[in-house]
Amino acid sequence: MNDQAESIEDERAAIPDMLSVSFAGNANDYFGIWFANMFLNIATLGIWSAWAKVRRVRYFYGNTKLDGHGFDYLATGGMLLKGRLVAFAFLVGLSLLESINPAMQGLTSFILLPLYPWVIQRSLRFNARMTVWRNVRFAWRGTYGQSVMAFLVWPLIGFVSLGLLAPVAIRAARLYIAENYDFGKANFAAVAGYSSFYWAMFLSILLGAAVIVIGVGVLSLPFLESIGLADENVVAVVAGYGGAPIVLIVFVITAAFFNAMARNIVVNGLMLDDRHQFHSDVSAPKFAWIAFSNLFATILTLGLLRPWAACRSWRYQAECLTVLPAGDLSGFIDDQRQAGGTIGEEYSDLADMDVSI
Amino acid sequence: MTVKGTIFEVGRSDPVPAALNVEETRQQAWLEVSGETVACDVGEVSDRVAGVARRVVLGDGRVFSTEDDDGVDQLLLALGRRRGSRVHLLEQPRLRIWLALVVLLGVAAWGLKSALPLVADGIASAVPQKLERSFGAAAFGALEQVALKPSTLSEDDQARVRNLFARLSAVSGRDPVLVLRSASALGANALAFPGGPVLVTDELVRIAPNDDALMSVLAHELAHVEERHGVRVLLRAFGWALLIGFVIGDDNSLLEEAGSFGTVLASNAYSRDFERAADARAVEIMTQVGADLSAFADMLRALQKSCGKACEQGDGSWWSTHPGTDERIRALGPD
Repeated sequence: MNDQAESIEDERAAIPDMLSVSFAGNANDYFGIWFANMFLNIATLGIWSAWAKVRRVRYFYGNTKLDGHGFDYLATGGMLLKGRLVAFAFLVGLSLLESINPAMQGLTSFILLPLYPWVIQRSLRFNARMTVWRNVRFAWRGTYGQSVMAFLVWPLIGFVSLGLLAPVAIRAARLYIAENYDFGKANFAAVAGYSSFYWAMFLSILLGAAVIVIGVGVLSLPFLESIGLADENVVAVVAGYGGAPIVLIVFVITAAFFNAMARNIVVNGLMLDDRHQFHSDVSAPKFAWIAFSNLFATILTLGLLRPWAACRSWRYQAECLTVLPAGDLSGFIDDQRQAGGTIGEEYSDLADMDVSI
Repeated sequence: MTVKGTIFEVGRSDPVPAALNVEETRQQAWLEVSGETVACDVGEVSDRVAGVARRVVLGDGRVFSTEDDDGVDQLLLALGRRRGSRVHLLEQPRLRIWLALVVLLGVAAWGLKSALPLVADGIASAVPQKLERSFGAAAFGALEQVALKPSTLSEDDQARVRNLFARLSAVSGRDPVLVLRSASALGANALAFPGGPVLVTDELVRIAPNDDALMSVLAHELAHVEERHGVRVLLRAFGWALLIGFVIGDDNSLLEEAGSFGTVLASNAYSRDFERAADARAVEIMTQVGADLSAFADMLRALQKSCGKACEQGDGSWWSTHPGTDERIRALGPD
């Protein structure tokens, strides 16, 4: 009895209790990639953007290390360009149709609506297949039908319930994304309660309300007068445009706050191959602060600090993530399935949706 | 030469230390793993990105991974292979490269800024007039539904305005439709839709001091239609939106929202340019029909007065679509 316990102890000793994820990138190196990408984008009238994305993603994935090995992104610029061109041609065609005949407007939204979950599904599938760690690729197995539920029906329910069911809808979408990932032949599973999502939503709304009160206070006439800025021009600008920055700031802060909490909830309920667990302890106030200060630094430097901001936010999220392995992390086997096409992936790029977790 | 790294069996995640050697004379690669050395082919090699391990796919599908970037580059040279992408050189933080890039970027940005209106105008001139008219008709239709009511002007007044408009459009190159409507939301206003129609509100007809003053507004709107300002400002703004998207669209972020603000500013600047151009062309048209030019300035003052305080704030500054009234009156000349 005692011997057996000891031998298990020995075996355990060889495996670390937890493996932290680290980010080896820095703002200096990424500035180079970002700047060169911007330059080449302008020089090629945007065609480079497909290759730019590959280099950007490879930099962030490759410098994110777990157990001594970085991640990698296998897509090529050519693949992404092909998808981009098809998506672009499709959108231009639709908007031309609309402008020639305004009656087509109903028809185009009729086409785009069912296309939207398809686009997210293809995009998740493609990007997962292109992501690799230690020679084993990820996969994502969500189907179109499930995607319609998670990305169309649930958000609609959240909307018509006046937000009362929004946490349920968000939980459904996040869990659906997380639990459909595979690493090689091993599956991810995810669990999360409802109350934690309601709590995250409640705190985020509270924070948003506080930020609005502060923002309106700062832009109010008495405050402007007290700092001697109440001249006619400033007041005209504040009256005309003051709402926009407040909305932007509230959105950035609350989205970061909520996403930090949601990330912890999802990651902490995640399990790979029924054994390996994960832990994320992103602090929501700290992440909200990072998002807010990043926004300010980026705008004040006309975008020059964007690479620094991107690295800072990525590093914080990566370094808050640990893997709790139940055994050796080798022994995963790749599943040689075909990747989905790039068309869906690139449409979601055009429509500017961030669907990664 | 030797590059140290890790080898992965096909489709497996177990890392095994290994080394890749190249015999330069025979251009042959050898893989050394667990004390054994076997010949191998080198297939696809991933591009160099700072800090990212290189992925070397061997002929049999095994993957060799290493952080020795220079080693991999030398290995490719020794194998007589073409060197991979050189983009990473652009990305290295060397001051001289940055300076050169900044200068080039500045030149490129300046070139684009001056080329963009030319390109957009070129595309605008290729837009068929029929398509332009259908844009205009659609936009007018939308406005009519929400903000316009039938004109309450007397038959005589309506006929008088139509006559003035006919005199002007006989001189101008285009012959758009004139529509008279009552629109409390728009106040005293006239709008030219791409390719027509030209909309004049009852309120504007009422505040016009005389016929010549009314003609100045009609001539101004005719100039917008004639010089296709509507389509041109749309295409220029679209060009800016594309450009800004390419530059700061590096990742999916809220920066793009901030960028759209820049598009608005740019399109407002073009809009002010076109207002000035329309004023200048209106003067030409009025001179040709022999109208009194001083009525133009009277009309602008009357418009400013009717618009009141709402128009004074930000009049002619960088966030308005029209130049300031004083500037417009000055541009008309000494009389």
